[in-house]
Amino acid sequence: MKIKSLLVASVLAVSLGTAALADDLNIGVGASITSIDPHFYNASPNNNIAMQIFDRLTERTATGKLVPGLAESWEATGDSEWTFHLRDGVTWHDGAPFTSDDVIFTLSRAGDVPNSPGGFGGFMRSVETASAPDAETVVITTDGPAPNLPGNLANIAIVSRHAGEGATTADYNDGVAAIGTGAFKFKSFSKGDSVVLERNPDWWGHTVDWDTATYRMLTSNGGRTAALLSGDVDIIDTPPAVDIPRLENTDGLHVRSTAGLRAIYLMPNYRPLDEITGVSGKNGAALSENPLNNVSVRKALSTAIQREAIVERIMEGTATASAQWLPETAFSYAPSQTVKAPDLEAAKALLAEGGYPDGFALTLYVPTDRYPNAPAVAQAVAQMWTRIGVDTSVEALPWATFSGKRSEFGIHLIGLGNSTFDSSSMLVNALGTANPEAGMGASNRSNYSNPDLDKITLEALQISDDDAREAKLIEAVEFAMDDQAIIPLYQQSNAWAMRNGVDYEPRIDERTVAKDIVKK
Amino acid sequence: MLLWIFQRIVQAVGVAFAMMLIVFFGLHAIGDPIETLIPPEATFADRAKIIADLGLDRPVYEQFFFFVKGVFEGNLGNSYVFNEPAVELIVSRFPATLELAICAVLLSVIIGLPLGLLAGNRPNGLTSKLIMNGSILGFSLPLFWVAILLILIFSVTLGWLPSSGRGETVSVFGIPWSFLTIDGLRHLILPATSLALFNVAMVLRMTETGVREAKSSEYVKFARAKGLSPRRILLVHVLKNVLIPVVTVVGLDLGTTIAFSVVTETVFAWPGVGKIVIDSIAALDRPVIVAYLMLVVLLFVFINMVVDILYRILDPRIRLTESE
Repeated sequence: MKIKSLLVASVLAVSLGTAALADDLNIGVGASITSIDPHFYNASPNNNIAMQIFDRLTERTATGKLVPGLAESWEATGDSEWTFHLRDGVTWHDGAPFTSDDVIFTLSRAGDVPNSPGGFGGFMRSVETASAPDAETVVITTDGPAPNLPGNLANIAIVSRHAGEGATTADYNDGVAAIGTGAFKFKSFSKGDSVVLERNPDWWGHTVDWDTATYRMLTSNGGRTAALLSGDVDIIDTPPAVDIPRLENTDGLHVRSTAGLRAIYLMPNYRPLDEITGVSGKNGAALSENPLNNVSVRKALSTAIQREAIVERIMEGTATASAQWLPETAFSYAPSQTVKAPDLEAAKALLAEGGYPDGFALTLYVPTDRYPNAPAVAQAVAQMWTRIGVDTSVEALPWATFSGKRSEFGIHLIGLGNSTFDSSSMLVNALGTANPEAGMGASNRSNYSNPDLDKITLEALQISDDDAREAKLIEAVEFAMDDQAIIPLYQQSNAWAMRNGVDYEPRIDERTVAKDIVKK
Repeated sequence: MLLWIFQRIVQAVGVAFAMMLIVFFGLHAIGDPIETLIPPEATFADRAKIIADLGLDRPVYEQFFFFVKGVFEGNLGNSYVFNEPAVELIVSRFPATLELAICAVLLSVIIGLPLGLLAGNRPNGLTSKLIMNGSILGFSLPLFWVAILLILIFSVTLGWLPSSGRGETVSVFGIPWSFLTIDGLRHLILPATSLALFNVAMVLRMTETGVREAKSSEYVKFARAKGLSPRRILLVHVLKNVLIPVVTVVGLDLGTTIAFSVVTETVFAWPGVGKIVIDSIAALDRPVIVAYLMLVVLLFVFINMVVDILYRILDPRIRLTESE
């Protein structure tokens, strides 16, 4: 018995010893990774992994700046043509050289994966054809001027033709086709549990501090915090807001955060009254038309909201109050749109101006399981609105039920992750008049339609000069906010909690990138 | 008898089919998976392609027809977010859940039975009162809270056990098992304990009642009169009789424990069926939800049928009343 326990102890000691020697990074992520196929599903958890195994032509830094990736440089070589010059001497994980043909193959696959529940086609909507004049050059022609193309391509993982041709999503999950050029090689994927990666010693980029990186899916908030506190993982993403003070005050741990790209806002519905729910006169009286179609009413609702209090009290400092849908550092942030203090008298005056001096009744719909603390935020907003005479109740629904009914809700709380890193994502997809030919409004659930705004947006998207484009986009933001097309609340912060031996520059795009986590 | 078994099978098929209808149309009433899954950047063309790929552009009755056809072929479609056959996904995760549930049930017997014997043997002793009052906690504490508390004490404060995951596994017949490695066992202790807590209390209380009842019965009095040692009476004669209802309940409990493990699996990030079902419900991944529910339905229909048949074979009274 004694010998046995000694044996056990020595086995434990040995395993502990090796664990201390090797540089193994354990990451606790809050959402499930569903596939290794980088083009199967455009969702943050999957993109986290794709960013380690694969590279993109262009890359985003933590602050969102566009930098060279597999393309060392790129330039517009015509009104509707981009030329990318590829990095020399890059090899795939299996040793084969990386060439322009792989890029051509990627562009044909990325938008066309069978059964994909939401792929990457949107980022390549302007791409018409792609050609490879030589092994180090790719020429992409677009259906018109597409100044956003290099930025959009920062979302498309480049896969190899030799491993990827004919490969299915399952081939990627098994690792057979998961051959990238990235900082880490694929080692194993256990669904609902973990993804294990090992360092690619031949990576062309910066030095990576870890021999292996393990992404562990810890979807329970309490469990994720506990895993960090007990030392099972070195770093966690999306630490729950209530736990952040505790994590900050624990010896040996620290929290890093930054204002993120995700905007949380209220979306009024612009349809006629009989097509929507949750808008009525006080005490169920009938209204003649939808009050939310009245810009004064929308402005009154916005003016009544005490954003700073929501951010401080309910979000516990994990958000930044906002009067638009971008953080201050982002491209096309409009400096003119500042957060104003609530003004109840002004709000009441605006209501009266809109023809509702006595207010009306609203239901504010909110998803329960999508955004941190969203139901509590909706409760607070409802109280603020009730104070100006708009009797508001809150209806909280799980995302699975909520998402399909968004077109029916009178007004609902929603977030936008913003993968274009500028204001165009909202302008094109959510506020653009639904129009398949113009490629606008595919995610427009509110039926907002403003031809003048559409015109400014489309113009902005065609301007190649960055400064001129930014000016035009800011004009569009100001125009939309002047019309109070949406009622912004705040920008969610992105936070990571980690032990003191590691450090991570917080990213504005919520990604947890193992290759950029450093040893301290 | 044969005719009766045949009737019973037809009945079971009927139940399974009714469930199929309820599950399928119930899920369709919940929401729209496209809206749940699709990223906001998707274009109109993307959306049309996704709807067509997932077969959601067909009329509902047609979708139902393909679904029923799939059931008979053992194929319930591909998971929307994993792009793998839903049945395979569920089946591949089942061993982890089974391992956890069996460990929890074993623990409940190992802990509950001796404590119940102890408490029942001296119902008025201090130990017995402590045990019986303590068991109330097992019934009444919410599972997720106990789980978090166990993690806080044993992982965070004491640092003895890992807080989550399955640890190292060993493959036997191509299925990974945790209980065969020391690391795996260490990972298993906390989730199994928190899952077992309710069952411990139940087994304990059933045993206690059984022992108290048996102690006043004729055969125990007779054994005592015969001069058998109290120890022998308790551990041989009483225990045998007490075990019958306990075994029945523990067997039934395995099913409930598998269902209960949904919460435990989520808190401890245990990669079992419960965790994937929760994720799938949140994402409205219909094929996986349907596959899980259908497998559970078939399992229960099958168990019930076997139990009914066994009853008839074992207990002649039921057979005889029927034939009269």
